[in-house]
Amino acid sequence: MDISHILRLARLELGKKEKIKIEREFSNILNFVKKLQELNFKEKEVYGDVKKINIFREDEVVELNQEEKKLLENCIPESKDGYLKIKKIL
Amino acid sequence: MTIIELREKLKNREISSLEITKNYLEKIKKEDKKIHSFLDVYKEDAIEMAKRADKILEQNSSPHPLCGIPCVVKDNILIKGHIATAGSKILENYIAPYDATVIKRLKEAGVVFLGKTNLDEFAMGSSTENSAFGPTRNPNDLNRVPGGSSGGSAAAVRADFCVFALGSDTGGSIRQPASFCGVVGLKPTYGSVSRYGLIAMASSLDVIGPITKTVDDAKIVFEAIRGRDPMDSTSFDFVSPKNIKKIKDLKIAILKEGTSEDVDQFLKESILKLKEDLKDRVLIIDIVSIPSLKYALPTYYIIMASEASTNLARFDGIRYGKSVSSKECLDIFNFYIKTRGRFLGPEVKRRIMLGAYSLSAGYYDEFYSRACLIQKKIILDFKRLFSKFDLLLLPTSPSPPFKLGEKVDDPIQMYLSDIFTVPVNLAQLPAISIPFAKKDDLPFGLQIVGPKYSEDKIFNFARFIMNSKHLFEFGE
Repeated sequence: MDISHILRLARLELGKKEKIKIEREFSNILNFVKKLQELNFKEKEVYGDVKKINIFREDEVVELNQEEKKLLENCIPESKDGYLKIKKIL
Repeated sequence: MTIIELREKLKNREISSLEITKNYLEKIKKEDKKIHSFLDVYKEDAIEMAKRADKILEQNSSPHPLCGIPCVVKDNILIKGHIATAGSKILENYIAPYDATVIKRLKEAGVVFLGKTNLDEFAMGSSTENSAFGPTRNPNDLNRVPGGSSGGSAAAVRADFCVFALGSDTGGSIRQPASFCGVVGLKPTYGSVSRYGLIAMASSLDVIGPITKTVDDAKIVFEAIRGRDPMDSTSFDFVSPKNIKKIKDLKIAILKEGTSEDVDQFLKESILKLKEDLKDRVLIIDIVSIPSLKYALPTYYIIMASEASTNLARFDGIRYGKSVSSKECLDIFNFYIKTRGRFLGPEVKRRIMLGAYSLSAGYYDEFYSRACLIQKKIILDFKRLFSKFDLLLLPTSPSPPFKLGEKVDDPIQMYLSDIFTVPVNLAQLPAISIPFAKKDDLPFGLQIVGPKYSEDKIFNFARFIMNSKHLFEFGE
């Protein structure tokens, strides 16, 4: 199978050799999970059981101290004046 | 040493937290070279924490039960100011800017952190061979894997490099390594322990839990880390049901699929023998089948991979982690795919791909939606079972620990080693793995599963089995 489209969706670039290997493994994995298609059951059987609730909290601004700010800034690979630096997106 | 033993010694001033911490650091330095359970050892910080704990122990007449107790932490849980790699190259230099809630709670209790332990990259794997920093070896047999993904934590407890450890469990990552190393591992009810500060794999399945030497120790750690946290909306305040049944009043189910021909012959016989031995000690013991479990593994792989592909989208090389030089990239898309392609490992890539595929237009209904439906069916089947029984017994893993390299080139074979643990995560239930049988010095774990919030019932029964070892002679 051709996995180029999936790689694009997954935001991954693979080397040539790696691509051949993953292509083979990936089709094995797909065959494995396709086992689910053989199961026949009524959807009614499993619906209407789960209650879902939303949990909200106030969206409050939390002030960080200098140490915390420093720790956060240190995580950023490329930054300038406390801002993230990225490639042009437009 | 166990938590309870050390606590007694600390209380009676037979030993100080500083002394025991130094002992452990010395032992790790000498003996971890051959096991490689650690990714980072806190040589100086641990000493400071131990000194602080000794002060509290001196001044406070009723300190927290974990005060001064040295532990280790799986490297996907954040400790402020320390590196957290999640076993991945992409986070090799990432320094955690805050404490995970479980760490905050343990710090308040006065726990001493000895360091961070090895794991499969982003907790994806069953052998710790997927770590970007090399595999961990099983202390019982250095040619074998310790299980995974919390393999470093389980190996460190087994090798006595610490008193207890924290791990995380998405599809068996606490229980399976506990089984392989011959220690106790608890996967708590989903949401009972906050996930804030745990590097996410599949958010609807992930849970943090203890790896310990005894059941009582697992209970102490669980009680210290559980409870509602505003930073994790799925967390809740845990209330233990009152009136825990006595052993003789328990209705026990043994999973039929857990004694099938796919299970190691010796393990299968041990479980059937346990059934005989328990016959007169519990109210009811019966073999039951859950046919939908045969679909649990593929269901799990679709749901877990879908959530993982979404969660791991954050590793884009921009806000944290490693990245390729932006100079070698034409545009931002190119920057993403190169960064992720270079710094993520093969199993992580496979799972991100499976997730992206399962969620993509044209395949969503056939894969993701269908998997969610089957998950609901599995939840219902467990509910039905627990309306008739108190607890379910089954193997933690179908086999004893396998050899390094044995399954690493065959992803499907590796996935199959989690066949008995993933259904529990899909149903959000609590389960414990305890050392149960032994053959040729290789341990087998027994898994005890209960309905949601039944941790205390599980602890009681697990303690009974471990204390009654003389009743059950399984090749030891």
